[in-house]
Amino acid sequence: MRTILVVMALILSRNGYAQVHISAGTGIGWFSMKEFHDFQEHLRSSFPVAARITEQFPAYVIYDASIAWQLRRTGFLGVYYQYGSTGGRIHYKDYSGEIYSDQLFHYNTIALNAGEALEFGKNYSLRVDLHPGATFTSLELLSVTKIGDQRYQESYKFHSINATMQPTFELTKTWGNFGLKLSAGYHIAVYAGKVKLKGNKNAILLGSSTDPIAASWDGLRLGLSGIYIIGRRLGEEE
Amino acid sequence: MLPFRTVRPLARLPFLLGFLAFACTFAPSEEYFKEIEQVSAMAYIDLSTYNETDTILLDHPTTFNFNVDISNPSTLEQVEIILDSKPSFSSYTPRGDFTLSPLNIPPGLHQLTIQFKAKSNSGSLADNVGAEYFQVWKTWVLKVVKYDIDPPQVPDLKITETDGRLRLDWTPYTKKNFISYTLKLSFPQEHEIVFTDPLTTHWVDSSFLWGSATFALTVSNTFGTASNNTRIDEPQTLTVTYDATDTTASLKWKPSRFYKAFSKVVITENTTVRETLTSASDSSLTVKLKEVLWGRSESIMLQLFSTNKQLDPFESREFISPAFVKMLRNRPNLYYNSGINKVIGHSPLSSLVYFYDDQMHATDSVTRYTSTISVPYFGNFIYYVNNNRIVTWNVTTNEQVYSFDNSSYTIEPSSIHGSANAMASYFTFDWRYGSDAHASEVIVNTVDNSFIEKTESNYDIKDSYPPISRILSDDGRFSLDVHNRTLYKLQGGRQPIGSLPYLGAFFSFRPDNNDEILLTTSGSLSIISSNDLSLLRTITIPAGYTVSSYDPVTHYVVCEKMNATVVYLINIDTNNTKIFPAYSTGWGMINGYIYNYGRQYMKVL
Repeated sequence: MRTILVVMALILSRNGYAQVHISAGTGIGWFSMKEFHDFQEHLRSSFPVAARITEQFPAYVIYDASIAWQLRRTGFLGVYYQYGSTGGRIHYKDYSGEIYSDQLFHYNTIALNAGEALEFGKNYSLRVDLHPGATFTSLELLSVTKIGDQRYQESYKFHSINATMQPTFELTKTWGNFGLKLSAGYHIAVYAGKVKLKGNKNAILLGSSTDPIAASWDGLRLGLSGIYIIGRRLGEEE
Repeated sequence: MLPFRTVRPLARLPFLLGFLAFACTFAPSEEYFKEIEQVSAMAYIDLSTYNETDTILLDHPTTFNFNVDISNPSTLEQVEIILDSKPSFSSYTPRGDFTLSPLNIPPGLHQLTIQFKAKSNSGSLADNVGAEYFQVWKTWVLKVVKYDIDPPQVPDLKITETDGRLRLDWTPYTKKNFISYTLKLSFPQEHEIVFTDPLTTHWVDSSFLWGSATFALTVSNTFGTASNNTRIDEPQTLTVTYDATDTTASLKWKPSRFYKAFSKVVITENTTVRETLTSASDSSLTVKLKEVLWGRSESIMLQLFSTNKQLDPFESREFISPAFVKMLRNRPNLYYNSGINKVIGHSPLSSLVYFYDDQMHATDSVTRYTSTISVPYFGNFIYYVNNNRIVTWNVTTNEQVYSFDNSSYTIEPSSIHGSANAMASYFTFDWRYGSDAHASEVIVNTVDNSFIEKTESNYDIKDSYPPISRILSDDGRFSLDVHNRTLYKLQGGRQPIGSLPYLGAFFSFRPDNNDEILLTTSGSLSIISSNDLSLLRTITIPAGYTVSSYDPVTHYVVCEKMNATVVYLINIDTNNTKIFPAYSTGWGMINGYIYNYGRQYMKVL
């Protein structure tokens, strides 16, 4: 990372642009997980009791961070990182015990900051960013059965890689070197990879139709970030 | 340009963000709790007769019946019988039985547990994964004692009379391995009675009254059997005393010890029931017989009936004869010889010749191997055939004179007639002449073996009369040729007198007076003269009667009739007639004694 930053700084400095936006923020993401809805239903039907799906991949907090160099007056380039998580649960509990299955998802997206910024008024700007990149998904299937004081647990971990884009609109207000950014984007999987068992790439997760299923993080992303601006804005006197 | 001093903190940013992210990773928390009521079950374990006790004594192989149950909705999964913590039997049904044997369990104290597992069927998670059961158990102390494997000992049997009934007692078998007593009875027909209660040690028979019976008792235990038997003989005896003076019969019998089985006594004369007694204590009865008659079969029968109608009654039948009727041994043919004034009997059955006194007691007997003898009324001779010779036996001197040998004939002399003057008649056969017999009818003087008559002929069995001996009068003065009824006078030869008149069939020369010949026909007895064949007198015979015998001592003839109940005795000189009760035919008379075929005799004159 350090090397990347140094290289990018050198590139940008040779082009004469001095402003760098560093942001970190949080938000909320909605996740499609369409194929895993069916998977959950399939899983529920195998329970020995009439369990219910109590969690079905709800919208949850996401985190992101980016660093971007302004390439010219309106263009910028940088690195973008996003972390999100969600999950599903099938659950049943009575006086005699408890049985549930958790499907715990999280992802890490590494993408580029690449877009155009439109400034309007003093200290306001609107950016459009495509965030092309890759999303690395981790899935843990956890099955737990508790009968009396006995507990039985099984856990399997999977991973997959998607090629993604997240077209995003970002509205920024600055106060000196600091600023706030509101963003709204939509995560799209351009390509969804198979969900594979860790340690055995030949073992893939199948759905109820015995077809491979994929983790689809498609959905809206809303975020609020804090910005620290290093350097002067283009066109400003030092 | 980004200053280098800012790069180092920035490089740490992803780690910081990662930390924050993992700290706030989604973790499911929603739960679904289903309200299910726990099942409260009622259960019981039933072990036959041991529910109220906590100790079971095992001293013989015992089969235990168990029954378990649990209230709805729970359902039985498995029943286990556990002996000292070791499952020894299992069942998947709520009812069943198991057998414990002291042969397989060491003596001492053990723990017997009946335990069952029932699925709760509560519908809970634990129930659905097969982890929720009720386990119910009940425990007993099992006391095992050494088991005796010996077969039973032979039981003692004892028959007694109890309250008027036959009672059989046997020694009880007290061990727990008892199976049964099997009593086999021989009456009324062979059958068995099985007792499975070891406390049953006697059998009362309400039907045994008289006779013999065998009781065989077999004791069975788990390891064998032992048998013993006993027999009861209660012979009934009937004593009948007949009083001929009033024709009453006195019967005596034994009252039965087992009087409760007594039903009745029936006295039957021939086929007529005379008395029926219903008192068990009665043991005698005098009954006047109504059907007794000499010469006819007369019986008195006692029947003792048991209360058990399936049992045949005890029966004893006594045949009655008039008390004064006696019987001669060996059924002799009877003759009278005036030379020694004795009745002489000859029994072909015993080859004995008897000499009787006036009371018909045999005072002497001599063995003579012959099938027939001839005893003339007069003189001292008895004639018989021995070894093809005619033997003239002087019963006064006991001298025996043998005639010439007739062995040239294949058939020895037959149908011999002897006379007081030592003459004898007979006939013989000789089959050696082919199919036609060479027959010889002879009258011979046994003193000098001269022939008075010897008529030889070829006897053709197909169309000739068989040869018949000439009939000699007792004094030897006359002979009769039966073929042509010609009477001859034997004095210095043989001179014909004439043919017998057709006044009846020739019966005999009158033994005591050979000058008379008796001719009989239905309804009359004609007496003609031997000298000129003239009719001397006629004796009327009762209708339907025939003359069966003439007694030369008393001069009475016996007249008999088939199925008649009396015979007539008629003096052929005086016509005096006597009636004597005697049945049917077969009667004879000698020296005043009337006798029958069986040689029962009675002095009547």
